[in-house]
Amino acid sequence: MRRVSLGLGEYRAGKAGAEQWFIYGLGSCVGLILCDPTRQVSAMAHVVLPEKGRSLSGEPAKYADTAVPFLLEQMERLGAERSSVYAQMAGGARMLAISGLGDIGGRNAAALRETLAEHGIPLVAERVGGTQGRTLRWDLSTGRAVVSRVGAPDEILTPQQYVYGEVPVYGRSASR
Amino acid sequence: MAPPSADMEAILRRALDHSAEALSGFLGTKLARAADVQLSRHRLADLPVLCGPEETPVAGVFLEVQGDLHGYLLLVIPAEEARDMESKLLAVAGTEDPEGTGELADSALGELGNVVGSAFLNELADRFHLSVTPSPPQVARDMVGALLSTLAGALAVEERTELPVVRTELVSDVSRLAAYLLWIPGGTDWNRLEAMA
Repeated sequence: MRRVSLGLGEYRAGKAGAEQWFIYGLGSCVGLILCDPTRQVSAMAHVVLPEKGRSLSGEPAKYADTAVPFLLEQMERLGAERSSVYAQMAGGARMLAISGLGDIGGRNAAALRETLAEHGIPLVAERVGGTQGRTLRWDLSTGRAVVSRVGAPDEILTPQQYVYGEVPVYGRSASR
Repeated sequence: MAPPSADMEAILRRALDHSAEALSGFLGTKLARAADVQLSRHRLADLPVLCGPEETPVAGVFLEVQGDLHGYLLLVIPAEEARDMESKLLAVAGTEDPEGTGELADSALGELGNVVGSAFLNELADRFHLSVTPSPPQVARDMVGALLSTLAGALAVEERTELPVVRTELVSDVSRLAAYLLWIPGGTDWNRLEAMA
């Protein structure tokens, strides 16, 4: 199983395979996963800030408002159908009170919810907020996301009905 | 970024020695810098891995630098060793907190971070005749990557994509304590100090 770690503002898009994507130590950042389970195409982004604003940064996955359309575009290139895509996310904690920053984690999560709604993408699972960091793992062979925290058991984020084996695969019958 | 001048390096080394002494005094253990002052420029994206693997559980004491200088100071201590430290500190104070996760333990650790951070900042303030005040300490126990990525988020808001980081590792001569002290100077602070050194 190949393990790939996504740093700040990074993203991946791909088809089902023997690969796991990780975002380790999410604090105020949010890990976003989009998935078309019927075509088994997915994407993940490590979102750092709510809005791109006037930033000249060429990192679309870094901002909540640009990450969603950018990931959708990457997934469509791989054959995903927007109408089948769902979203899940984790992170957005408030770990440190930094002057002038406010609740950046909460704003990241809120901006993602808003952008997902604008694009008609249902958010089916989230573990956001609080004061604890999280690690998010996405398994491309099963279509299952897992969230880890220090001192707590791992939690499966993806609702069972969205896991690959549970969803009819495009072009063939369900593989139950 | 050019390497620090010899003068600046000497000042930073002295400031970090003061921090190590302050921590030694607090713990009754001789501590020293394990490595010389490391001043390096990093991409923002590299910040979460500066103190080892991102999922490492740590106790962090965070101070915002205010006044004539800005920026952030972070003391990072591996979680298990932080618990040992807290027990020692509470024993000295004649108080008990056997779980090591309560308010008293946080308070002891915060005070320790305050002493260490202030020792560092005082040396800079004295040397450059500046008025520098650390914020009250904030204690967080979590994955080191989560602490550092939150800090990276704050720096990203300031649209900083690269940053200078002053880092040292503090090592005890009798136990296996290995703590990091990180200083991320405010946007123009480093160049100002270099010019004054």
